[in-house]
Amino acid sequence: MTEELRSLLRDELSAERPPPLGDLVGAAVRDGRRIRRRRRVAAFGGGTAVAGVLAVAVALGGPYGTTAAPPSGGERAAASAAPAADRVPATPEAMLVLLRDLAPPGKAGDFAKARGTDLQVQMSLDRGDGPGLIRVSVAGYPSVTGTGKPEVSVQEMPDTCTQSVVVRADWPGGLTVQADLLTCRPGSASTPTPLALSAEEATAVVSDPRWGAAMDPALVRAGEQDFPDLATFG
Amino acid sequence: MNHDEDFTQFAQARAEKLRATAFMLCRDWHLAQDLTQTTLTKLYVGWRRARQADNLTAYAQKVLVRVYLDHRRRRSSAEAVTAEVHDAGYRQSPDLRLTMLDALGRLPARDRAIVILRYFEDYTVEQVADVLDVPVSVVKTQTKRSLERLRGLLAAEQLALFG
Repeated sequence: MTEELRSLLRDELSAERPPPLGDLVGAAVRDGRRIRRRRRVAAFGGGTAVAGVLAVAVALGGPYGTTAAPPSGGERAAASAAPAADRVPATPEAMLVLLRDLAPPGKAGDFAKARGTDLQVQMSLDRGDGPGLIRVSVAGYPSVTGTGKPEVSVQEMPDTCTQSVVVRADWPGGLTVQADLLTCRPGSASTPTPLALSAEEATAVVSDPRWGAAMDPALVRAGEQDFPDLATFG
Repeated sequence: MNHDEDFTQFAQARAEKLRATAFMLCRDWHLAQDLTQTTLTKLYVGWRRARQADNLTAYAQKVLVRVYLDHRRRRSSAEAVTAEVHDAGYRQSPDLRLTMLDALGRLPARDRAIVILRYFEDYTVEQVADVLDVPVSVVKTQTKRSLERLRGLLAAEQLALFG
């Protein structure tokens, strides 16, 4: 499989007609020298210049203008997040408890976990227009918890009803929480279903610091109690 | 050999390859050129540190991928779908067939980088995890999902190749 994929990629690249490389290296050297000069100036007497750069960085709100999660999700819930040392390995059942708690009001159902060992769960939420499916997955080191602020991306993929909207939070240290919002029932792409969450609501869900490959023992216990016989999907 | 000569020798030998990787990531030769230049500039500025890397080429690729991901993040928190292709259309007509690069363009930026590094650059899962600074488990799950998505996007005859 992988050989064929490699071959497809290489074939497509070889069919391209790239423009001349030009003086790419020379331009990089010139730019690099300029940056070094600026750094030297800043280091040896350009204190005010450094302050200016910092001020701009602060004004921009973060490194490179990346999207930070809204404080409403992460910071609000931070108080209730268990310290890393107290956490236990996450279970799909615990994830469903958390997902159900974080979802806005509506009728929840279709609880299921992914077949296999992936930490991915599914839940539908009916907010009056019929049930829409949400799938949440977690991947990361058990020792990494949602500390700091995640970088959140929202991608709309109208041609894929099983991932019409994908909202992903990447936490510092290597924890990824992803919510897939579906607009169909898997296996029945021709029947549209409503989106269960807005992008903002999904952002708040994935930005909750209680997600992780290790979770609060109370959530794990609640999961065992609430979902003793969970269905599977995938 | 002084700093500039050492850097220039390396950069001239690797620029073309770096640009090819950049193109695979962004599918735009002009942007690939810019990303490569930014990568080389960063390498020049931090050349002393770069020189200490066990594998300088892999280090340069790592810088490039991060430059690309930073670019994507700066550009927008939401990727725009670059072209609408309807399932029925491209599955029935070879002329409308989605290419692998088109299909890759529909993956989120980091997932695209994972596929490129794994299947174009032949990196191991561990190497990809190192480049992207994510756990191995993330690389594994995202690879699996990306391949599923590519299967869903590509035409039947291409599907047969990696089904």
